[in-house]
Amino acid sequence: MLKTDQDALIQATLAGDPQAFQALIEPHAPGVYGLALQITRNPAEAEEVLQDATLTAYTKLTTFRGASSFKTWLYRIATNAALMRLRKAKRSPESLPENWDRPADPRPWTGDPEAWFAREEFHQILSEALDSLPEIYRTTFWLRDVEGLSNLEVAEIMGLSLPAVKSRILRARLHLRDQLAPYFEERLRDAS
Amino acid sequence: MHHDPGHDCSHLKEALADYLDGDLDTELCRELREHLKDCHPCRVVVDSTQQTIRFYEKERPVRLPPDVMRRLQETLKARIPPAREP
Repeated sequence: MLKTDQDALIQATLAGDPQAFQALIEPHAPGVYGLALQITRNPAEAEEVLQDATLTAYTKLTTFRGASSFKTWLYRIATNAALMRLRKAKRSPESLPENWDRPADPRPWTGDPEAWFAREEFHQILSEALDSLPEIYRTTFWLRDVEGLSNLEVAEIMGLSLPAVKSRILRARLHLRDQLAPYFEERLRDAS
Repeated sequence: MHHDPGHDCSHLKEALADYLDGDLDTELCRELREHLKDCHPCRVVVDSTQQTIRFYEKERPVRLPPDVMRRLQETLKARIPPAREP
């Protein structure tokens, strides 16, 4: 959505047009749902987060100043709503060990990524690796590498400093690499 | 990246975040780039981490179930007052 279209929809919503708000929200709904799913790991809760975040965005739209993008602003609302649910459920955040050591003898990954993508099993493996990340890393990684947001935007959404975001993303990337490595190294052995 | 005989890889871990993001201009990143020419294990880890990032960048986006979208639209209709007639 072009920023000018988005600004027009925001103005129309503030002028009292509910259809404008629906048009403003709908393109972001899959992203908000996906983000909420990463945090809660529960489709029913992710749907509730989507609904809560959407209604909060409506009631707070007068406070949106355009300093950040509407998407970043909406994602921050959704992140807060999802984290609130985790806190209510007393699910405490897990962490990864502070130090990461490079494997002593890592083997190169070979093969044809396009062929891997065609296999259902491959998507399952990516999903399971992501599931193995503690929530705080998974959400940060998701926003950065799946949603494609910048480090600064992720920092704004998560309420973190830029160094903290970069540190979490690196830790998540290395953890995922380590999780995927046996699969590809195994395939390498199979192929040899 | 840990200490290998003949190599000191550990301090270069600090540059890895910037390196993976393509910010290659810092002194430490230049040092890392030089290091990767000689250190095979580090190169394998960096290559496979870049591969990992590419996998997730290309992964299928989360699909919003049609029922979820329908219920969201119903909620918006119910909770947001209709536009006033001019």
